[in-house]
Amino acid sequence: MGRRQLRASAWLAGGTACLGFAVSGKAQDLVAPRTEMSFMGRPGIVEMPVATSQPDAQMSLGYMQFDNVSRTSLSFQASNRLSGTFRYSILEGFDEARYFDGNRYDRSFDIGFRFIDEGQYRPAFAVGLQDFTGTGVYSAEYVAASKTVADGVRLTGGIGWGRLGSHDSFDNPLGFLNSSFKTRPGLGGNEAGKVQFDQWFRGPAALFGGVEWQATDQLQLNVEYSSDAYVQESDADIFDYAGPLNVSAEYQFGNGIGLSAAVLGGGTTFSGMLSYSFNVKTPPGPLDREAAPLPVAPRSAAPELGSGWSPSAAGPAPAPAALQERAAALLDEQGLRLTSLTLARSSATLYIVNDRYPAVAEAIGRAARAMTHVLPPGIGRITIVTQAQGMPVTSVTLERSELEHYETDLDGAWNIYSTAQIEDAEAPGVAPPVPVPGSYPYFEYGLGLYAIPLFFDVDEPVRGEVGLQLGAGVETSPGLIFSGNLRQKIAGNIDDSERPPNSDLPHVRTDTLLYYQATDLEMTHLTAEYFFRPGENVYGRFTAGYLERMYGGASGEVLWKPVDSPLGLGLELDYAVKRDFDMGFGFQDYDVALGFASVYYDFQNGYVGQVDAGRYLAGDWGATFSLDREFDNGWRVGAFFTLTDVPFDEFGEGSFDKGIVVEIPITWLSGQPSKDGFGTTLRPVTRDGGAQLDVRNRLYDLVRRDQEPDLGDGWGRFWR
Amino acid sequence: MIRFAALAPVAGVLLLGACSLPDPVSSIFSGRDSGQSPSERRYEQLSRAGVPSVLAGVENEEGRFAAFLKLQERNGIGTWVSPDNVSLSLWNGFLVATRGLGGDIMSADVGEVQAAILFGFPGYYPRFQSYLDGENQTVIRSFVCKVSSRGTRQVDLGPFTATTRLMEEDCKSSDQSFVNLYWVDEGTGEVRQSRQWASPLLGPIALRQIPR
Repeated sequence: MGRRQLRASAWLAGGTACLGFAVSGKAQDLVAPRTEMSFMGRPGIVEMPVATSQPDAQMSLGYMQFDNVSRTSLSFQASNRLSGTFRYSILEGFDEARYFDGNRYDRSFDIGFRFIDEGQYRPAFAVGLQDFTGTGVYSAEYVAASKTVADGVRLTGGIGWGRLGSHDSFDNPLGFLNSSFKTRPGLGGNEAGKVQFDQWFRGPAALFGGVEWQATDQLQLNVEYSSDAYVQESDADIFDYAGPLNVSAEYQFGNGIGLSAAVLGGGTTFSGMLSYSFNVKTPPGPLDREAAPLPVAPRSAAPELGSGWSPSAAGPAPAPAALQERAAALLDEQGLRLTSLTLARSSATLYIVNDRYPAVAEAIGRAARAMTHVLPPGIGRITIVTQAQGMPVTSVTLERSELEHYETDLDGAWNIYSTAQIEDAEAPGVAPPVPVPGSYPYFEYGLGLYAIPLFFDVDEPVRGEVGLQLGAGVETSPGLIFSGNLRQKIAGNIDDSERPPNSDLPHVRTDTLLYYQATDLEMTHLTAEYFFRPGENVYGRFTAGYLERMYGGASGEVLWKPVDSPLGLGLELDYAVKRDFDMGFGFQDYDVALGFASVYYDFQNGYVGQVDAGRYLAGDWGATFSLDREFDNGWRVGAFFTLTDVPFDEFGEGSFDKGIVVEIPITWLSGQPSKDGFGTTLRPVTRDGGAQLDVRNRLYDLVRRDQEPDLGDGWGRFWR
Repeated sequence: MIRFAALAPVAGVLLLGACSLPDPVSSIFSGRDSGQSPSERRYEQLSRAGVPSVLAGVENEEGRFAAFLKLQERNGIGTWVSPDNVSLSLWNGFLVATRGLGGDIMSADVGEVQAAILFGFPGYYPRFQSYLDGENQTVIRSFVCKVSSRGTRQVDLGPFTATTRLMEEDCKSSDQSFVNLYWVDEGTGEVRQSRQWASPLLGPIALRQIPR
């Protein structure tokens, strides 16, 4: 697969070159070696980077170890050209006694960007920043060029700065632009974690290069001349450096698992790496064994309404009880809940709650097909209204004849999409709901296990906690929900940490640990929520009570988001009081008023951006910027950062808040329908500046799945 | 001869099915009425009503077969269901959709090959099938299929033996190829038995009428 795609992209690149130079030749037919992960956990040779990229949406996990150093990495090809890597390194004995156990626990981010594609004669070029926000151990920049020169053989050469300019270096060639490029400023004590703009491409530079050879389909052999002299490790006496040559052999088992062995540092140090690589666009299977839907029933088989009921001329009226019951039973079989069914002379409108299907189009498609089994033949138009937390969101109107016509059509999903009428549920003409008798109050409870994994802590690679969780809620009328959740810890080591908060700001997040330590029985929330539609395109939420683990108070939010608009605007105002460490009903004497104005934009090419500007928990003012790559199968990989009026040195380690988020849908792993997923946020460090209140059920994420463009992106599942 | 060897597994699935489930419908449901899912209840009702049934199996997965009962027919296309809520859509015996097997055919356009096979016109015909990819996007694949006859075959359906013409449909696309086989009754024109390729993930499906 990997080889195919690379071959295809090389061919495309060749095609572009042909346009430019009007030549054609054999070079474009060369088979490029696979682009594999280096021991630095990003596309590379042994330790050095390459200019080529992995296939789009490829994700790779790696663990490597040598002598006193281990690196755990997560690398993601965020777009065709852009790759990002998160690396957690442990350098044993690196710090002597400077820190508590002498080990350096280092979290670093890399980004790489391929700015020129490989052509027939022209190599691919890429520029990269290594460890551009971390503590600076791996801080470096590079420009690399790679070219496939024979079947399975690729040459790479490049120039590096910082750590990658530490072996056999020379004066910075950029010095002719400005003499300030000639020296690389040192790091201030507290500035670690800041984006080191003033260091990039400064100081001495050095050259590196290497060869990758795809010896067989499974085996790749690499040799490189490294420009990294491991100066800091040698100084700390944890690495024996003899020279710039590194060699490695990498074996791919064909199921994404790879095993590599390397000799680093000119023959002194043996290293091994285990890696796993997969593509987010391709579920690992077993694919999609969801139960079959009901087929569209023949109109001739549709039951007539019993006598004694006729549609009111005045407008839609609730359907007869027997019909509502039959409809509710068929929808229940699909995992959908019917809350209203009204009939007019020739049309039916149903309000459904979808707790099962991540692709909303599938819920609509299944509901529509089920209804053809119970609606009288005279009903020719079916309107399905989706709901979120009791709020009607999107109305989809389908002609029954189109359903009958397109169910077995080759391009049936597109055909039905092009004829469906999609509008806001509050639009004029959409029949309002009349609750099915017995829909309210609606109770729900759940007893289960919970798990909190915390990865890459400052002094422990993995911390975690597991326990029992009891949640319960009641919706007393549409949109009015009372709910709470209790957790009892069974086991875990999150509270073992002995790092006292050392922040100059109010300890709004740095004392999270005290909450874990104070109690094993936690009330994680207890709230009253009200969700409502103030008008067309507008959504509202009001929440009061114990909002999250650390804060109680009240929160109000308004969202403007038309059903077919990529743009959303939000406003949220909160009042938060810090809860007691025992997570009971008590409060501490820290309170703050905060709030945000938010802009959401779906770029409709797989990227969603969000900016929140306002006041944060520590009373600081600023803005959070985030950009997510979202896949139509539910995967989300994104990055964010927050800048506030807290000066970098007062913020402490990291200088400002930033991190990456990864969300994995359960459906992708199991093949069964579920709206649940695993999510995690990786931050280099959690501090008190730029901290947001963690209120549940923010409106944008509640409603956007039911709206365009998400709704249309998942429309392929309409007939599933 | 080589082709015939490739056929052996189909016969295996069909024979195994026929032997171990002489009356598949009633043996599955003897003495069970409570705790049924809606799909099981519907299956049992269909079984009592004596609707037509067909035995179908995924050839590459041993033991993955069931008796499917005809739930309904609309515009000539029948929907056949299993007790565990898998469905097959058949148009005159031609598989045009599956649901719940994993790697399902979402839809298929088999109009020309069907006419050629049922009426015995050898030649080259187009076939189209659609799937969902890993990102839920519809993917339509097109094939060119060579239809030919392999001659007369007897098919033992239990209560009687049908005289059939074995039709072969040899399909190719740029990167996929498969061979479908249809045993077409010389008297009634029905497809008594078939082996039809579903998808790259699923491979071929073996189908056989269960006479009642």
